Amino acid sequence: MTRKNERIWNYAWTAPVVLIIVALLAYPIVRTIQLSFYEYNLTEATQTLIGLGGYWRALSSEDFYSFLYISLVWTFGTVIACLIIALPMAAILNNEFRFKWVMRSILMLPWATPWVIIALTWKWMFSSNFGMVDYLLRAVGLGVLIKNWLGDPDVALFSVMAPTIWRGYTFGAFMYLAAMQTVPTHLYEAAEIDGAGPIKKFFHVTLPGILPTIIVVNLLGVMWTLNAIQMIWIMTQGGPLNSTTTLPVAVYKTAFLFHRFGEASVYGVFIGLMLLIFALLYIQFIAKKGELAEI
Amino acid sequence: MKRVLLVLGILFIVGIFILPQILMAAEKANLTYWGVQRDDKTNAHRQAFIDKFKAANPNFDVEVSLFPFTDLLAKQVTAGAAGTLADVFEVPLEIQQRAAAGHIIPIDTYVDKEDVKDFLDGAVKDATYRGKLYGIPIYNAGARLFLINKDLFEKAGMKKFPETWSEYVEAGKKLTDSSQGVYGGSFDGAGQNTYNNFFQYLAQAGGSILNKDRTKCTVNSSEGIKALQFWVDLIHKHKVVNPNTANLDFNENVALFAAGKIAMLDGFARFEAQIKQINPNIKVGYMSMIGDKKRVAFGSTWNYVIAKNSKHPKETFELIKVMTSKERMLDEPAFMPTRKSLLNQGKWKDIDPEIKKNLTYMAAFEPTTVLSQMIEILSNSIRESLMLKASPKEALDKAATKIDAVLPKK
Amino acid sequence: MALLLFAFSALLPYIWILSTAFKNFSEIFTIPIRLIPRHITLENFKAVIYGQMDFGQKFMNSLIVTIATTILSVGLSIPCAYALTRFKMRGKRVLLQTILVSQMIPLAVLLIPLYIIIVKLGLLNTFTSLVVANLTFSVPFVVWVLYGFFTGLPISIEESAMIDGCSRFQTLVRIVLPSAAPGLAASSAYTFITAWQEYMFALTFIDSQKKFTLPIALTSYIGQYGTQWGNLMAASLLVTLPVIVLFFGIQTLMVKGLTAGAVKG
Repeated sequence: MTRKNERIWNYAWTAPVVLIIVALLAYPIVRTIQLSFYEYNLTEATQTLIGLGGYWRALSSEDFYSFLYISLVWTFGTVIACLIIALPMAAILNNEFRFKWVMRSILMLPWATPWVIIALTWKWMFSSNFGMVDYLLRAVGLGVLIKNWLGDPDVALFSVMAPTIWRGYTFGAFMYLAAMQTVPTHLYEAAEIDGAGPIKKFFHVTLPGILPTIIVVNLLGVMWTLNAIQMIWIMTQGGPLNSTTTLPVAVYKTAFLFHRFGEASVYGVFIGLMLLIFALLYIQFIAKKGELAEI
Repeated sequence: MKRVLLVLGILFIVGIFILPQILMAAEKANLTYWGVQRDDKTNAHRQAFIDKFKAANPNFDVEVSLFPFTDLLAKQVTAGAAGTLADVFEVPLEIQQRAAAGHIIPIDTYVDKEDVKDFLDGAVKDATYRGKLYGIPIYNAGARLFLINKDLFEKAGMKKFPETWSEYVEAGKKLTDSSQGVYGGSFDGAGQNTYNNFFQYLAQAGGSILNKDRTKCTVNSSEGIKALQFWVDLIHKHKVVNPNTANLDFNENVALFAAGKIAMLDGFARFEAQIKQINPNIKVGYMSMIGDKKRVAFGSTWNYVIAKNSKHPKETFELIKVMTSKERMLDEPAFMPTRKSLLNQGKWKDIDPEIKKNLTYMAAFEPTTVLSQMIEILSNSIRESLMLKASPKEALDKAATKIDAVLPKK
Repeated sequence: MALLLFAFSALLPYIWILSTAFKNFSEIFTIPIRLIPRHITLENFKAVIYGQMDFGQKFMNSLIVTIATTILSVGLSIPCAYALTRFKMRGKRVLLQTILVSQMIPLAVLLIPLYIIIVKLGLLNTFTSLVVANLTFSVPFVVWVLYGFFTGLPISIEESAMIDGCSRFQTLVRIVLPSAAPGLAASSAYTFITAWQEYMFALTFIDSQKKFTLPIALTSYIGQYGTQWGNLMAASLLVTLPVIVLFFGIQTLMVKGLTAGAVKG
């Protein structure tokens, strides 16, 4: 093949993916940015250009900062908790033991169940009158720990994070487990010859081996967790008293309940910018170290 | 080899896209209908009347799609923005927003003016936007009232129903037994109904959410503060409602009532079905809404509307006529008629007299195009106050300021 | 030990789901809670399967959309990820970053413009629209994950294969893919599950009831005046079942040591 043909052929490998993403998402993203400069309330059926007015309004409202703070706690709290639980879990499941397949399948359950069911089930589990959480706490004598899980503004965010983490760490463990399968076994043998125990093996063989996967899963994880509103929406609709309203929840409310699309777009752009900055920093400081040098 | 694979690959992808289209060859549906998914009986009854229309209009087919209640409204927003709404769909108080956005058409030219007079006045008013009528009311859930636990009433020796706020508190105290977790009264501190629940008590005290012009929020008037203070006192001073009421939505209140833990449940008659399912042994009775300066109950209906993008508005209206006919409402399994003439006919003659009496207390709700935001703002303020994080005056002042900021300027 | 704790925590809500699915209505809301029903009943399952919801049809709809999404998603991502890993191309960085950026704006604001595009393409109320919309969110993930997996594979095997006369494509299929099987399994599973549960697009793009997917059928049990808990829980068990079956199948690919011996051989 000629040089030129070969290059075209190479690009063809990536073309369909690029095509789909650009064709479908380019217009919506551009339109969102465009709308953020307008005041567009569906109920007024007109769009008025207000330039940076929308951004100014957001930055000078105290609600915005509350949403921001809650978003940060929600996102990083969930992702970090998932990482801390998922890694050891995957390591344990990586060993040979009886009923391995059963255990691994149980691992899938939280992740395989539809969002709606999980959110609703946990909502009722947290109920003061009918919920299993209070029932179990009382049964083991820890009744003093009972709080108003979904009704107390100080506690609600963590109550909603609980099922999200529960779902997230099983997903993470699954991904890390898959990655662990590709770590060449001879590396473990070599480590054993050098006298390494299980913990040393984990840190010196397993961890470096699955680092690319960890990096990718958590980068994408941050983005999804932030934008995941279903759990919050079904359990608390952003309440009580907006204590569980992250920025994306605010976006949904503003757009679909209040019909203020200009304002929602402003929030949307803020979220995009935040994630962009995060991704750049993440890639700069973490990804580069983990062999994903290409980015 | 490579080429063959490439061709196969392309064929495969193309096939994936086209095959489903062929498999589900679209039938030409002439009219589309979007409704809310309800119980089997209601759905069947609704379908029967749609079939009636089809039989009378053989050259029109009607494709019915029933959506989950939670998201039908969101779907109407997206479809409205793109001009792909169904010809006819069901919409509750959000009809004002659809009208303001220009997604539905006024139906003044299609209706029979005399027939319109048969519908509940408040409901017709709620379907009117800027002087034009946009929808026909349907699905009357009845006005809010109290469902009572007859056994608890008997045990406490209650002879008469309370009618005023103070009588309610008295009755509540008699019916409350906190050692058993049983409470005399209830209200929705949380959830989608807090706003309309509070609206009643506010109106009972003589106040209103907006002023006559609808340009200013008057929820922080002395009447409003009195009403909110009444709620706060019910929880913290008189202790006649569940101490956790600030967090209870109607689902939990219904479940508590069914479990025998509430004597007077502030809710809709419609709840009886679910209560009986949870606890078949409970004896449910009815009690009209109470009052302070006057007795006011909240009631609202859904509406049938015609989409702006409909290609057959005339036939769509014919369908609406059949769906809002007297025949349908007489036999409607769970909803009361929206036609005044039917309220004393057929099976509606025999419903609990308290329910009928209560209907006379129903007041127009007067939704605005920013209803969702008002609900959000006011519900939050109410909860703040119920949780004792702000005094009623502070909470309502804050609400009024915020609501003023979002009210459309005339 | 630790495993049991993990298992218990994973299964906790299922105790409630299972117990509710087999109860009749009157047993669901009791104070205090009763975990084991007095009468175990299958009426919820019967109501779901034979009821007005036409569960079987919704199941098929979901299956069609999900399988199409999974095949296309993985099929399109594999060459893309491989090219990004091994080929020398200009704009690799830009491409990877673009793929990433596409995930950053929340769906709530993207939904309406995306909907308008779908309508203009004439794809309203088609399964194609769902497949295509699902792809926009699963492909980036699969590309990135496979990129991670492929990067970890030693290039020497591929080089020796190519020296032996294999084309890039053949190398990919015969050598790289088997070694990255766990990664493929993981991304396929992820795509399948996400598409299986996808709700927003299904609600927005599909107008005809007979084309509804399972998640919409599930939400239909939540009414304005009350939820049919028993039916809902029974239905969710039925919805989750295929995924569990999938997992058992996937496990065969999650096997260690596929790269062992490859370098030496």
